[in-house]
Amino acid sequence: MDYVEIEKLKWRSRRSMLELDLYFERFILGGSFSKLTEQELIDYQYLLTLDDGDLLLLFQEKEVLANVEMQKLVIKIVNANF
Amino acid sequence: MSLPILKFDAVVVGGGGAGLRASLQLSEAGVKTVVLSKVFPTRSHTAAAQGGISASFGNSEEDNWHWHMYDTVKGADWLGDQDAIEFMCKQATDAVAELEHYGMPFDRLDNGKIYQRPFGGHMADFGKKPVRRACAVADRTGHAMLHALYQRNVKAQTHFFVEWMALDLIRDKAGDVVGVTALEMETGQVYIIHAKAVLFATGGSGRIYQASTNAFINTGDGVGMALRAGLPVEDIEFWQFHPTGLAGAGVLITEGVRGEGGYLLNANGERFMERYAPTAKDLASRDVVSRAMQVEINEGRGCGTNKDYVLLKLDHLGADVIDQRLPGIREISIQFLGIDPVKQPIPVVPTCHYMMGGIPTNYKGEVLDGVDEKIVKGFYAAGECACASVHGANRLGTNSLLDLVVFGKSAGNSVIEFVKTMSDHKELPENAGQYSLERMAKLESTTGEKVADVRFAMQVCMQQHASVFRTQKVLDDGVMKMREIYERAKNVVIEDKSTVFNTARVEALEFLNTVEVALATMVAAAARTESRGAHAREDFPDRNDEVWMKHTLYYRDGQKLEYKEVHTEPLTVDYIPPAKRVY
Repeated sequence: MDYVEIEKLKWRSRRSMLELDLYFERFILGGSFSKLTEQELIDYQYLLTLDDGDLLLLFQEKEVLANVEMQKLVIKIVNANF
Repeated sequence: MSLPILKFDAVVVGGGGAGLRASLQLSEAGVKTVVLSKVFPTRSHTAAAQGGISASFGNSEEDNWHWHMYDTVKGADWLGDQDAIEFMCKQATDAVAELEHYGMPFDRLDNGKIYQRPFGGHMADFGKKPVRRACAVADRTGHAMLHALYQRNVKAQTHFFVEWMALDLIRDKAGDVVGVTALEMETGQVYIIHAKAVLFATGGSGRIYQASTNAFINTGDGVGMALRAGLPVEDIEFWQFHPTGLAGAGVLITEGVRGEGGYLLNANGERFMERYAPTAKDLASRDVVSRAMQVEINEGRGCGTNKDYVLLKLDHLGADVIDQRLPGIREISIQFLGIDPVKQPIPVVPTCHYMMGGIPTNYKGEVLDGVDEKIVKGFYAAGECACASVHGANRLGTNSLLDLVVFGKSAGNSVIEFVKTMSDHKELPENAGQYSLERMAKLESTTGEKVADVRFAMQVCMQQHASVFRTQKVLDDGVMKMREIYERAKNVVIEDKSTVFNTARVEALEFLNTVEVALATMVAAAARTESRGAHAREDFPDRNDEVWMKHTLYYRDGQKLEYKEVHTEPLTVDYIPPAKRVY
């Protein structure tokens, strides 16, 4: 992904709920985002298309994605900086 | 430098509940409308509203809008305008029924009617006993509302400019509003949106505080733009706080924790609420607990390196009780603070939740200027950014979603009528847009301060001087500090000068709105020498109707304050006279 696409992903990580903003902020500012592979960036892009309520359930580990790689990315986001 | 011009009949700034309800009204009436939104509309902060929307259907027990009106007037501590409050409460059932017809899947009773649940401050028979008035879609009411309204807007062919940020209002020589300037993030291009009418629905500005439950997008853009355009903001000193937000994060920890036996401790390990509320202790009302916490912090008994929070202890409840009766609390605490409440107490602080004040409007959504309430032609506002004023000094839960749809629709109707009177757009003033370009260019200066540093200073100052513990000295010191911060804000710069999707530029522009709201709050709060609703003064503990039953108007120019009368004439019913606000 080029610079503009990556900046878009960062902006689209701004969500309707503070909890989600905090998860994404930690992930981006903590440096984990910049280490994502091209495939992970595509997965990240998909995650951002989910409804915020569904994202929150994933991040609070109350739901699990069937796609193993995508679920790994969810765990990475949740565990950022810890 | 000339800017590209796009022409619409109406431009709605903000794609949350109020903006979408307004745009729907406009598009269905054939008014060519565009909605500008910083984020995709269904990701607006309205989606975070869980509790419900109030409407006196009386589906489970007797209820009527007169009682709802009484509760709202009382909740507002008699600072609400009673014409607007009557309008909202009377319209509530129709507004909710409309949402249902738009496809909002409200929870149901067995008989098929909308399920309703009780909510704080909503009572039957003029305050006698709690009543079930809140209609909800599980815990996703705001989210469901946004989706229903967005789909309906798509069907009505509303234009959406997503990831666009409005920069400034454009007013002509007569003071009429004729459009806005706006930044398209994707290209970095600034446009003039030339419109017959502009409707602001930009939401709140909770990010002025260090501890806030608000999403990052709540930066007070509408209020900032209105102030820069020479218009006042009303009752901006009134902010609702929740006592237990996670320190450093803001995420709410439900009152249920204290209901289950959790309690607060200061740095000495003292259960300090026993001193402030010997009977109710940790279960005293939100404002009492919040102020007690802030006193402990202010007097040096806060915890941590900076002594800036207190502790919520619940480990004595045991893992089983915490897991079973307080679901989610453990995850939140572990994930955001790395603290397991089964083993350690949770750091908490009083946390900003809702802005009662805003751009002054009447119940038709028309923006008003000055103590004589002169209508600003072409300018409308609805939702949290507006002050109709229905919430007065304190908002009741579930009245916020109601406010969005009732006044979104009402403002939309006013725009429709206004647009009918105009055969063509009013002319743009010469150099329209120049001001916005100058503001943006200034951000690219080679020397100046970082946005993040000045924003942090603002948030700390607001938290320390204008949160729940307010005295003349605390506020006066706050005014002095905020004025210094405001001067520093004039010299913030961005390192990244790129044009395309430059999020640093957007955040800087947002901050320049937020800091306007912060200074207005501090100045207005320092002047109000009484306690009313959310504005609680330690040195003036009582409400003073004789002197202070009036709305504050704050102007950016000279940081001037004026006061205007509260509307004491409802539309059809008798005035509800002031009384002591007890529950």
